[in-house]
Amino acid sequence: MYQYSESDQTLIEERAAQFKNQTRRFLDGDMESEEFQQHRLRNGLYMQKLAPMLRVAIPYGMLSSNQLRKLAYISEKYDQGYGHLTTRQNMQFNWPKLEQVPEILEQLSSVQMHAIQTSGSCIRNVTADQFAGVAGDELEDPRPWAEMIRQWSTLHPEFNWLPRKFKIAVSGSDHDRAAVKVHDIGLKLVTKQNTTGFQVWVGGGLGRTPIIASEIKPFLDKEHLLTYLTAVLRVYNRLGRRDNKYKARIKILVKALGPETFADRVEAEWLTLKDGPDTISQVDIDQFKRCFSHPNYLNLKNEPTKTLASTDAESRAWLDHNVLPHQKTGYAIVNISLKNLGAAPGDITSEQMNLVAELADDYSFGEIRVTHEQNLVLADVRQSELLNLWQKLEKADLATANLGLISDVICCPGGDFCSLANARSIPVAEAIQSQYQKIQEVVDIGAVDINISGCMNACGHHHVGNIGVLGVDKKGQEFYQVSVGGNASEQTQLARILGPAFPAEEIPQAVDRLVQCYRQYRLPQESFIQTFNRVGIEAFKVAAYPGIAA
Amino acid sequence: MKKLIRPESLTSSTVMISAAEQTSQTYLTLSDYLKLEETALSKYPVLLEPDVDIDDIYQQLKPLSLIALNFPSFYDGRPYSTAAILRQRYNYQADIRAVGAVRVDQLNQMYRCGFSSFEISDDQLTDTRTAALQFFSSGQQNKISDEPALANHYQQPWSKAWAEPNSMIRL
Repeated sequence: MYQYSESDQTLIEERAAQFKNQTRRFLDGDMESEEFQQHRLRNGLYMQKLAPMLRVAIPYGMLSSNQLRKLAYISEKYDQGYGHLTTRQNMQFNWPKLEQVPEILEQLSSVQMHAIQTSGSCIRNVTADQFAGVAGDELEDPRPWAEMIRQWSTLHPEFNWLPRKFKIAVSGSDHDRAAVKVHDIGLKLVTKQNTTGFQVWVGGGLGRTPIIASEIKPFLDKEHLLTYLTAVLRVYNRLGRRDNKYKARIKILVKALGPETFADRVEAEWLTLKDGPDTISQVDIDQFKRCFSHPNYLNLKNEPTKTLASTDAESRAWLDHNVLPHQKTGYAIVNISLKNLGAAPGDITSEQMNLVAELADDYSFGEIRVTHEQNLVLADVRQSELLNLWQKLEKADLATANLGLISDVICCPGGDFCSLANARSIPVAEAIQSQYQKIQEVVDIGAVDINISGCMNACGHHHVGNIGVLGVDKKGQEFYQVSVGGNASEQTQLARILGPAFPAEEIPQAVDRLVQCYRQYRLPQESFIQTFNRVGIEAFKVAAYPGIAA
Repeated sequence: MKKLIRPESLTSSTVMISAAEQTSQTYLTLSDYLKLEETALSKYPVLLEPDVDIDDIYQQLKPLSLIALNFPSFYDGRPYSTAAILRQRYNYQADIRAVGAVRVDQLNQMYRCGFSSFEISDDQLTDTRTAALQFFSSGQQNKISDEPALANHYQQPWSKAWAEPNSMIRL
């Protein structure tokens, strides 16, 4: 895992000190609230319904056990004993006091963490594949590149006041687990004549106007990554709309100019920057790659599946669904689901954080990853230890065997916490999850992504859910619009709205009617999304609104 | 009242607060400037709005010893790119001035993008505010190897005279 250099450390300490000064000036009435708002947002601090919300950056989802312990400590001391993992691999605290935020930042900086650029109209925390470095289908580890982007984008002097927020994701595998096509810039590592480079996608995004990104560069030589990103950002910074915040994302600019014209503008800008000072040398590439070298794996043999699956049905289900194959023989990737019934999706208590930190130390080289599906990963577990690990997770309600299954619901904090929300999302998630608790049934239904957002800002990524649920406000009443057919993977698809919105109490049944529709129409081995793509939306419309002619 | 602050000399990036001078500079709009017969002899500097495409007009501005860029609001980020383009693409070596909604907390970013003087309201220059200038000792686009690859080229590389690495403005 990357360890901070002295200048990284100095920077986050200085930003924490600067923010302390800004907060004091605001509280003393020496900084107008409009100005403080921009500075606090650029430091991850929102003013929410009940208390401020602080969003802590977890760059490309990598955490050390000590960092997780620190997050546990912060949630105990300054919050209500839990944290919430977001769909951008960050952790949010919902209950800090404004006056204490500078102190929290000092605590974070003691373990190489911060909240810089987790909000505001700037380049946000960079995200990547949670299985980077261990995925079997990986072409190249995206993390060295994500780390370069992190350093390049942190307090970038030219791009700190963009028209709107800006999100970059990097994927190193054919199977896209980083949702690159719904990011402002999505980078996919690809090969050409035995060298790796980047396929560059621009202008994707969810929110009010969901758009799938356009490819603007099929192959970018890797040494030009930062000059090319500079060119994209500069074109956007100069030409992006600033008159209407709903039209200010880069996706609107790309659409207005047309992807080809946009690509031409970027190319022209890039030619003035290419081979300039931001060109990445081979020395740097090697250096960054060394920061993400493999841990000291033992030379092991794969465990026969039989010996692993010898115990009861629950551990069997967990092995089947939450444990994935690893690049290295004898090892496995373990997913820890934070989607057990009774807890809000993505929430984790301080006790659980401390336990996961301990398990990471004992079983997985002291590292943890956060996924954009709001779960955790222990990426390097010896296969022979899997059942021991399962027993310890099980005791802490952390062994829910539902990764990628219907009860693994992705959900924003919604109207319970967020002042932007039109409706609550956590109770809806719980109501849906509660009807899928029998493991045999959940396994029979198979892979279904349900995504729930409390408003059109789409933090729950409802546009790319196989089933998407969006909270809307109808004359002060909470209603929910249901859409079907979204897909966040490399075959990115946006979900289509089925019809009129449902009141909250009807949502679980409506979702279940869609699930039963799939079961009725599916062919052997066909997943929900495959059936949807084959059968089309009409059958699902009929199922969703029984008694109404389609 | 407006004050003008600038690095105290071209060999140092330090600004002493005593160096801040009162200013009531008059600027020409771009259209008025372009109406002049001999633009090079203009009595007043030109003030560019952020929607001006610097690539379209740079050749006409080239002789000027000062180009001022207006910040209509403190969160308008366009002038940062304009300044960076003037320095990086056109190697413009004369003064680039930030005018308008200039806030102390952003001087460091402006400076690193190539601004070399700042017209700023008196009320921004209180002790608690100017303390905000002292937080960043170096650039952020840092390098981890000894090779200067990911080095921060926004650290005034365009001006050899100012080429003090890791420099910053101090009031």
